[in-house]
Amino acid sequence: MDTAIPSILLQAVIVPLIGALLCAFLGKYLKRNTGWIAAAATIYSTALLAYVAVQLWTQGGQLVETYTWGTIVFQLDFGFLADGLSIPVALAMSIICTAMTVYSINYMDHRIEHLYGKDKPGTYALYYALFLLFPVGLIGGALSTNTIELFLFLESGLFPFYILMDVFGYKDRHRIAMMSFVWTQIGAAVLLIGAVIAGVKAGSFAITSLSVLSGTDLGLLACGLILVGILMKMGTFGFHVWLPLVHAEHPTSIAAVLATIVGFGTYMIARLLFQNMFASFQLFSLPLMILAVVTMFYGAYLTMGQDDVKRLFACSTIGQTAYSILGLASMNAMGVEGGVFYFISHILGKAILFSVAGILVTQTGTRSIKEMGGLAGKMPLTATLCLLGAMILSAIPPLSGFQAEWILFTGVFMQGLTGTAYMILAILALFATFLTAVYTFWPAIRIFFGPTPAGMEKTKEAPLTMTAPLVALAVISVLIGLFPDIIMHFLTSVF
Amino acid sequence: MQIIDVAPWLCWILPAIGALAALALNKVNRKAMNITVLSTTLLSCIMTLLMVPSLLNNSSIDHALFWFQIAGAQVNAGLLIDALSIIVANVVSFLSLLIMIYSTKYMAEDPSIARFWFFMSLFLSSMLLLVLADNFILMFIGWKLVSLCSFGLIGYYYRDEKEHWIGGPAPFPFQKPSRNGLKALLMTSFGDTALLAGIIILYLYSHTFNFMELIQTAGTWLPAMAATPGILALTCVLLLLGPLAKSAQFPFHEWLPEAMSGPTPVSALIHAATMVKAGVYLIARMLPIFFFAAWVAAPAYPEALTFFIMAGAIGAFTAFLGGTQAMVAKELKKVLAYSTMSAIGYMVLALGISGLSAGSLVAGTSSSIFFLINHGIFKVVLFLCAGVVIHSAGSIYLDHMNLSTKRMRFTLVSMWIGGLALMGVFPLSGFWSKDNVLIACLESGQYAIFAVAMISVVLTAFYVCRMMGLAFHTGTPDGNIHRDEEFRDRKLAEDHAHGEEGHWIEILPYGLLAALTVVIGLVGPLVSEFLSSAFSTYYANMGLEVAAETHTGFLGLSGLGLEVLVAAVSIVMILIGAVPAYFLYIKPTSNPSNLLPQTGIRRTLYNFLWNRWYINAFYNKVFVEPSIWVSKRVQRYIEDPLNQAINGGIPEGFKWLSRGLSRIQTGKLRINMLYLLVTIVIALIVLWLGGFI
Amino acid sequence: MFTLPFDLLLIFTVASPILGWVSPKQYRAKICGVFAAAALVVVGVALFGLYQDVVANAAVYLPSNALNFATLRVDALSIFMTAIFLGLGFAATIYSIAYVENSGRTPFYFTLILALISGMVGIVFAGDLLALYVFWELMSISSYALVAFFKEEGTPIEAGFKFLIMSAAGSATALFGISLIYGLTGTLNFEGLVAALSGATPNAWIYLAAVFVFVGFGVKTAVFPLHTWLPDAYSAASAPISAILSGIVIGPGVYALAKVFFTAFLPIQTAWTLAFAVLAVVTMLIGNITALRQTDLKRMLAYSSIGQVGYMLIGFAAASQLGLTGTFLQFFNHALMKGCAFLCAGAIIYRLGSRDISGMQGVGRKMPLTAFAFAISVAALVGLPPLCGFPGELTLFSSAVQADLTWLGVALLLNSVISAGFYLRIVYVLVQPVSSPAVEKIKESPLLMLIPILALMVLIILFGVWPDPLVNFAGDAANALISLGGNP
Repeated sequence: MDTAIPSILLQAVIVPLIGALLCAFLGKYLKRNTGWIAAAATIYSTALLAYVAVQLWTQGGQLVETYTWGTIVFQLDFGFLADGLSIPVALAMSIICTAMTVYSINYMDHRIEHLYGKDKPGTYALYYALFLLFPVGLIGGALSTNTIELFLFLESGLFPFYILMDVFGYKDRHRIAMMSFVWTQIGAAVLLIGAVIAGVKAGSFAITSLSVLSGTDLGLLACGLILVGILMKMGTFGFHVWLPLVHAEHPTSIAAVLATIVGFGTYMIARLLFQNMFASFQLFSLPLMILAVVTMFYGAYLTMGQDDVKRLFACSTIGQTAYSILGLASMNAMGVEGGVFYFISHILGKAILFSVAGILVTQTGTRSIKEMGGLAGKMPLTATLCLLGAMILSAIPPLSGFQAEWILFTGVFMQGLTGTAYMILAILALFATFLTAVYTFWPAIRIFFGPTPAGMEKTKEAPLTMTAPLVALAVISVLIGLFPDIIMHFLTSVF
Repeated sequence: MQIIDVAPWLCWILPAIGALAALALNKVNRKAMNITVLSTTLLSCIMTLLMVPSLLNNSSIDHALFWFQIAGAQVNAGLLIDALSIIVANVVSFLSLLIMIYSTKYMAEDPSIARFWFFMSLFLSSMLLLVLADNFILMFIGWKLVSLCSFGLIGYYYRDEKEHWIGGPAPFPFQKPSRNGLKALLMTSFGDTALLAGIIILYLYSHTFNFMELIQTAGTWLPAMAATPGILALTCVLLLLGPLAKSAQFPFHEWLPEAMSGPTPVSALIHAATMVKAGVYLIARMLPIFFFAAWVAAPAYPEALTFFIMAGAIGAFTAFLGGTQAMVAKELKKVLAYSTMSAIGYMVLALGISGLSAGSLVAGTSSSIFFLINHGIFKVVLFLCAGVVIHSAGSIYLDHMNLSTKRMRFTLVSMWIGGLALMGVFPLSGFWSKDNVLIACLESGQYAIFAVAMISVVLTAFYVCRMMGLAFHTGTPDGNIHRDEEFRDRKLAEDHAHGEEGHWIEILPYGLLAALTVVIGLVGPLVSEFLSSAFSTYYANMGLEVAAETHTGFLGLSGLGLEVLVAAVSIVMILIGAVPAYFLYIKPTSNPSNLLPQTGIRRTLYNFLWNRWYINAFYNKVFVEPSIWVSKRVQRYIEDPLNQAINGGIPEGFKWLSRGLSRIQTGKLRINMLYLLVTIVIALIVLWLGGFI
Repeated sequence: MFTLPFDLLLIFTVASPILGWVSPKQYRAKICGVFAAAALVVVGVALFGLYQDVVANAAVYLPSNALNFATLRVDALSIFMTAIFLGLGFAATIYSIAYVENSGRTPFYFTLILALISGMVGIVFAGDLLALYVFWELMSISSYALVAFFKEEGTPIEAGFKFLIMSAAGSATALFGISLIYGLTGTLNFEGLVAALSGATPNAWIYLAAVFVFVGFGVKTAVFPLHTWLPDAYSAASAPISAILSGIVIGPGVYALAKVFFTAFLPIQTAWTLAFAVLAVVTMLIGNITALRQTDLKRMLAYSSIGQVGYMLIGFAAASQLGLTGTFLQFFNHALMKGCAFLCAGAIIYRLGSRDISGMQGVGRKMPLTAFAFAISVAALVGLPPLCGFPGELTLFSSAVQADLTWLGVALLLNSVISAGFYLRIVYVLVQPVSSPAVEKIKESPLLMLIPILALMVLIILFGVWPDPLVNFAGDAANALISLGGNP
């Protein structure tokens, strides 16, 4: 397919980077309005990706842009590939980043004032400049054509992540910043080991040449390493201990992006392992499914016990990403489509929920659910958004979560029909989804329903820059839920 | 384009627009909002009425549009207009319209009425979508949305003010609306989860979600499914769990009594007349597939009988369970809630009957649907009257009521009509549908179910008389009835002129429906005949060759004889229940509480029933409390230790290592020089050991 | 005498003290500094001319381009190393102008820097082991003096003395090894050694020679367990000298080891690849883990240099063109990254007057540019893309995988994670809000310090984003060595 705009994919990746530089230099003068530069950059990227998506829809095929990067060790093309898998993922992540930049404008104002007082204009520059590296990393990562490039984009968000946590995080932020860095770095390292083994032995780091090794012993090793690396980044059970802490203590605008980064592993598994190393990957079906089901239950019970509104949604990410893993572990097209779809849906929901947590923290000044109650009357829009987020997560139509979930589970049950163990896992997993409704609606009710405690009577609705982006995300989710073809048209073209 | 092509779409889209309009107009103009909502409802009702002619044609129309694609297939969005969907859709939209009219008065003073309208309209829209959808996925959207609306409306008084609590009285625990909403949502979600699993398994074998295609192609995909033993039975169970949860059937019935914490029109519309019938509808919708498997397919698949056995048994049991609990309930709306459970049990058992023998398909289905229609109408009457009664009495407890029979004449009469219809008294509508169900039981030879159903008739008669007696007829205000000193909300009672008749806007809907109950009762056999012919064509169109009336009947009786016999027996049963209740509550000769000593078998039985057979307590002990117990401990005993071990321990380990390694860095020159020497020596030793030198 | 760049360098070295004497006292520091910097630029230009010759002829033999009597032999590797020496030397010199402004002995300081660089250039130009040894001593003597140059800071004399004794002992050991080689082959010329030893059956003497040469050169390279002098020396020396020491003085050690092991000791390659693999892992672990608990900023950076040396040794263990490319690439990058880091550390210490990391909270608020450069260099040292540390580590890792030493590569990545533990602490301290009055008073580094810092930072980013030319350059260097050893 062709587009009228030259280097469109490169632009989509580079523009936020340029925005980051602008923010860095202008942040001092623009102060809180720096956010609008960041928003402009992400909106531009989103618009480009949306344009590519429309073109891809009408013309089919795929769009490849190749730039020669280097001959380090092997020929490395710095390529961008827009196809049915990468475009919806990239677009969704870009939309989340856009929404979160707009959301940040008021939220970070509050946060910075809280931490550093009013007269620290430099902190705005720091925040937005680093924040914009996330869209660069995420969009670039989704469009990458070789593993090293993918790794590069993945890692590009890591350092900003560390600094943002360290500077703007909540309690115990220094230790947790370090912890998150080390954990994700280890995950990335394991991933890189697998990728390099595959790359060196296959003679090329191109993602498509992973298939050379597929099915061999070495392929199994590489596949296993890549998988473990991704699972560490996704915080599945056993590798999850960093996730609740890191997720909860981040500024909420970044926590939403973190959910995206965590879920991005879904895309990587689909792209690297399912598409290109299927013969090796399919051997992991059963262990991966067991792991996913364990993680789902563990995540659910962990989440249910939380009283801290930020930690609550942080813990729920553990179980939610496991859904996607479950879909991928089912080793069939429906499962993978469902897994990727669920990932997209989940990040929409999680962005809403985390931002709601942020709104609650800024408007009420507490994080404890025990101190909240009856806020629906004070902030009806926020309450509605929270319930919509809960609906996305617990798969209640017409929001996107439902369509994603049944497609995912169709895949899982398809695998379930191949053996009793799979069938038991599939049914267990489905009942784990029931717990999602418990841990999303129950807290929502404790926060927003019931009598209002004495201290909360003066709580006001959040400003429009904080709620409007979330409304937009909810609308997108409803649209996807009503017209799943928006996603499925793309996904079915590749799987 | 013909009207039948548009009407089904419009009838569910219009209320959805109405729902959004309610939100949009909330801040603008309340009157405009009310008018918009009512007119969309009215239009929707007209649209459903426009579909009735095709019911008369016995045609079945499927409007399908491309919706989206999934791996290797596509999913269409379509509406299926056939006898079943038209009847249910009309019941839903007609009752909704009347209840909405009632609500304009009943909810007039509520400050957040926009939210009420939003959920009510959305409910109507999604219920119609549920009923009209031609495939499982689209149906499921409506299915979940009605649950959501139910959640929103049960928890309508989300602030949990004390006057909206239900349960009690005082020594007994109260339940708050927000919690009840959540409970309903979660319990039905549990069933939905199973239903989804069933749908998926069905799809994996049949490769379609479309109801008609499922039946038409059943012959081709059933063998593959039946090849693995257990799958068909598993699918039956999974598919049934969803409707059972939605229709508040055992073991999922526990949410319904507590769903009464919503405003009364909500209880009337959602938790009595329509939403809880969604389960009945879906069972009826799926029934042909399993009937085909059990009876029509060439090698029959007996596993498919699971569907019918389960439906029949659970329906019968719930009919009994609901009846027993209604006998002791203290709250007016709870009596009605239990009776709803019981009545839906009837419908479900009738559907179960329809597949338990080859010949009762039409009889079972048509009696069940007839019951559904009648029950919808008279239960709305009862609930709407109850709303007025509760407002008027200022209390939710029957013990507190004792209203004037003179000033509330319309309400009294309507409520008695509704109550008698519920009891199944000749010649009201309930009589005919109940008798049809009973006859179907006998004709298919299900005597056990018949017996349980008959016992339920006794129970129904008892609790209806008890309810009416306590509400209207019990002696003097401070007579011999036990009266709570703590009138739960004295203020409300004082605000209201005690025993005031409802406003005419309120009376109009239930008066109309009460009249309808009588009318249907008068022409009962005709309606019954019509339904049975409609359904026999309906099934014939599906290719379910119904064996002609080959059954031998009961005791050699068939046709009219059987009908008369059943009618006679059921009248006796009604009397068995009604007479004691009459002397206990309507014309009391002694204080009914005298029947209950502090100990002994009667007290135990009473406690057993009052505590809802301890099922709720059982669920709390087995599911809720352990879950909370686990979730409280996961953090403390798994997550925190893991966190300490990994996030605390590993860095500590490295620090320790670092400290140790720092020791070799002495900074003393002679030791540093020694390292140099040692290096050479060790290298030489290694070389020597390695055989190099 | 030899070749233009080298001659120029020697001339400038000799000329610089004279210039110092004649110049007016108040401008002496600036004049000498500028002279030294200009000298390095001129040498750099001359080097480019030589590079053209090397490209044309693969190797240039000097003097008089005669193979048999060549004292110096210049190939792509020599050019590569020299370019690093000159580049970082230039940055350090510019930086020093601001740093040593008020010292009375300025001319010697710059003379010593030039002498140090001359020595190192001599080492990489050397065509035989004797010449190499001679220049090695020139480099060593200059570096002792430089470490001890600023008496007022800490314990530089003691550190310089320790450094001297250790290095001298190392040199002596190396000389012993070289003697053994000469005894075995009768030549010290590298090509002669290859010719003499290729195909020879390994005997005990070769192993012995290898041990002694390794220990001798290993002291300067700071391979475990010969690294113990390094933290003291690096932390005692002034910032630009630390930058030079850490950034490039380990270079000659790596170079010398590579040169000898990939020529003379090729016959016993199977034995030493394993030894280097083990040493690489131990060295990187010791360096990085010990660095975790350091509170002195410069000491921490010093330890981390040991870790980086461990990374470079992976190329030896892989013993392939790819591995050597990685080693040289890592060396180049390390010069940039660690050079930049030391210069930043120096600037902060210069302003703050303290080296304790915990006292530096909020420095980043006061010195944003320095702190930013510091953060970038530290991130590059961790190996984060798209900074220049990443291609180096990737190449080394790939070479380890290629040589079926995947565990070595895993150790590399593991270490880069461990190293994050202390590198990030620096970043964390810098971005914190100001907490002490001492920090409140400081301001951004002087311009002359800032320029080299920022220049190095730009290079770190540039070679990270577009590593291709650098990788090719390092690859050519590796090829030069491989082809010298006759090992394709």
